[in-house]
Amino acid sequence: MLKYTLRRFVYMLITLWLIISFTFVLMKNLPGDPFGEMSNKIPKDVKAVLMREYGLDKPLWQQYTHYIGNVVQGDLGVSFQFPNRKVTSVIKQGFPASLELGIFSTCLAVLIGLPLGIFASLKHGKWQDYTAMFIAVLGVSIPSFVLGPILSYYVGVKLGWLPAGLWKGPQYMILPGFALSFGTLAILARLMRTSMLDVLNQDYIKTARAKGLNKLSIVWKHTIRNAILPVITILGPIFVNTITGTLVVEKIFSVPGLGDQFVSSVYSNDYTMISGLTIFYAVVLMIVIFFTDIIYGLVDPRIRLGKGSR
Amino acid sequence: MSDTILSVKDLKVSFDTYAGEVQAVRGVSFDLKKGEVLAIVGESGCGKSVTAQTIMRLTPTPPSRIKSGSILFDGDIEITKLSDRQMEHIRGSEMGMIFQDPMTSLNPTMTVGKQITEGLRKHQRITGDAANKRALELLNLVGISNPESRILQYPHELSGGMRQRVMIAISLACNPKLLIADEPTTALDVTIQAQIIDLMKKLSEQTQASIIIITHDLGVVAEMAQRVIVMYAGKVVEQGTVDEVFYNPQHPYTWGLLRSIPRLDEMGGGDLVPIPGTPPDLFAPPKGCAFAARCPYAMQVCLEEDPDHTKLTADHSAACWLLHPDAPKVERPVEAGGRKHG
Repeated sequence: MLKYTLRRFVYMLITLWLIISFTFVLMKNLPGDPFGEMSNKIPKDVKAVLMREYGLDKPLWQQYTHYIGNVVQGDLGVSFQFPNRKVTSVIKQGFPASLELGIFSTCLAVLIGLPLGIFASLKHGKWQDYTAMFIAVLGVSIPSFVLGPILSYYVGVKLGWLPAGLWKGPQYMILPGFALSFGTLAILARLMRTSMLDVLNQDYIKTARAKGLNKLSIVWKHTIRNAILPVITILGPIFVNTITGTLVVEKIFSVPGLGDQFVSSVYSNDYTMISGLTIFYAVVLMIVIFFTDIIYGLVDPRIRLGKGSR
Repeated sequence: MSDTILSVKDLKVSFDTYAGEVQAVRGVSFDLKKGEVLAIVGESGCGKSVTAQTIMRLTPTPPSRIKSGSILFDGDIEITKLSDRQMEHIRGSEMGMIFQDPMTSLNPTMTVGKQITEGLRKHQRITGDAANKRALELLNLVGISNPESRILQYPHELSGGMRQRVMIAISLACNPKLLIADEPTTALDVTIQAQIIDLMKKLSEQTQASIIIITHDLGVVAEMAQRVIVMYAGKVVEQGTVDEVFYNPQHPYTWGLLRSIPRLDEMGGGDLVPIPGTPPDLFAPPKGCAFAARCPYAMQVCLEEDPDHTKLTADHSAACWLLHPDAPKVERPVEAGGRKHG
C-alpha cells in the first residue's frame, strides 16, 4: 500500500509538471498581452519597465525555469490584474467559500440522488420509477442559471424563507447548494438506477435469492455495493468541479468563491493567475482521484490496490 | 406417498411479454423420490430451467406466472400457494440450487466465507463462530483445500471449478432436502466437469438429498441420474429410468438426442446425426405434437392432436402417437444404449 502510494505520488508530480509546462506554453501563445487593449498607448519606455518588472522581457526558457522554481516553493506569483495580490492569497480567499458550497452540494446530490436511483430501480417500470426519472430529467435539463434565479427570487425574496444571496453563514449555503446539486443529483440518480438494474439482473442476485435471503438484505448487502462502483468513478471529478468554484451559481448568489476569479483572469490575460488556478485545480483533482481510487479498492476487492506489495 | 419429496402436477408457466404470452412450460408432471437423482434433459429453451426455477419460485413474477398446476414439496407444502415470505424460509434451507455459471453466480464483493454463512445465519440463527465452523466443514466436504484461508478470499481469487465447489457448499449449507443443479457443468472445462460430477455423485450418496440435475449433456445423465425426463417445447416427451430411456427409447426426439452424441467406441462408423429444424415458437405452440414438424415419422394425427403419455413400465412413459396400437411399426434408428452406460 505504501509502495503504491509512493508510486502514485511520483506519477502525480510528473503529471503536475506536464500540466504546468503545458499551461505555460499555451498561455504564452494567447493573443494579446496582460496590459490590456490599451497597451499600444502605453509609452514604450513605461511598457519596458513594466515588462522588466514582471520578468516578461527575459527569454521564454528563463521565464519558464523561474516560474517552475517559484511554483516548487509554493509561490504561484503575483496577479497581473491586482498587482499587489499574490495568486496564493486570491486562492486562499476564494477557495473556502467554493469548498464549503461544493462539499455541501455534493453531499446533497449524493444523499438525494442515490436513494432516488435505488428507489426507482426497485420500482422498475412502475409509476414511482417514472416519477423519479422525470425528476432526474428535469435536473439534467434545467441549467443552474435558470434554477438559481428562480430559487433566489421565489424562495429567497418572495417567500423570504432563506437568504437570497451572499455568504454569511450556514443558512446562506442552502439555496446555492441546491441549485448547484440539482444537475449532479439527477446524473447520480440516473446512473445509480441503471447500475442497480444491471446488478439486479446478475446471477449472484439469483444465488442470493436462492439462499432465501429477504429483499432488504439482497438489496443492501448484494446489490448496492456492486451498483455503486460507477457512481464512485464519476463522483470524484464532479466533486472537484464543484469545490473549485462554479461561475454561474456563485455569481447568482454572490458567493465570494473561486469561479469568478478564474473567468476574470482569463479575460484579462492574467498569466500568473490562470496558471496558478490551473495548477491548483490540477492538484485538487489529482488528490481527489487518488482518494477515489482508494475508496474504489475498498468497495471492490477485485481492484484492491497494491496487492503484490503487501 | 411418504417416499416422495417432490410432486409436480401439470405445471404450466408462462411469461407475459410485450409481444404476447410465451408458454415456457406447458403441463409438466413428475415425481421425485427421497434420495433420488433425477435428470431433466432437453435442448436450449425447452423449459427445463424454467421448471426448475419455478420449483424454487426463482423466476421473477412478473413477467413469469404459474398458470396452473401444483408443486407439492415434502408431503404437504404447496409451493405454488406460498407467500413470498414463506418461500424465503424454504429457499436455502429446504431447497438449494446450483447455477450454471460459477463465474457470475458469486457476489464479487463478498468473501467466500460470508457467502456461505449468510444463508446459515438466516435459517439456523446460529452465531458467527458456529457458522464459520460449518463453512469450513462444507469447504472440506466439497474438496477445497486450505479452507481457513479460502474462507477469507474473494471469488475472483478462485478458479472456475473452485467457485462451482463453493456454490455447491452454499447450496448444501443448511442440509436441504432437495438440491437443484441447473446445468452445473456447462460452463466448466471438461476435466473440471468430471471432477464436479464426481463430487456431486459423492455428495448425493453422503447427504441423502434428492437431486434434480438439469443438463443437455447425456453423459452427465448416465453418470449421475437414476431417472431421466426428456423435455421438448415445454412438455415432457419421455421419462423413465436411465436404462429404460437409454436402452429402450420410445420417442423420436429421444432417438434424435441419442444419435446426436459422439461415441468414441464407434470410430469412423457413426456419423453424428443432428435433429433438423428448430423448436417451435412458444408464443404460439402448435396444436398437435410440438415435435411433429421436425419428426421424420410424423403422421397426420401428430399435426392435429397432442399425444398423451403411454405407460410402458412403472417408470417409463412416452408421449408419441407411434406408441398407439393402431400406429405403423417403425424401425428405431438408434441402437440400444445411445451411449455406453456407466
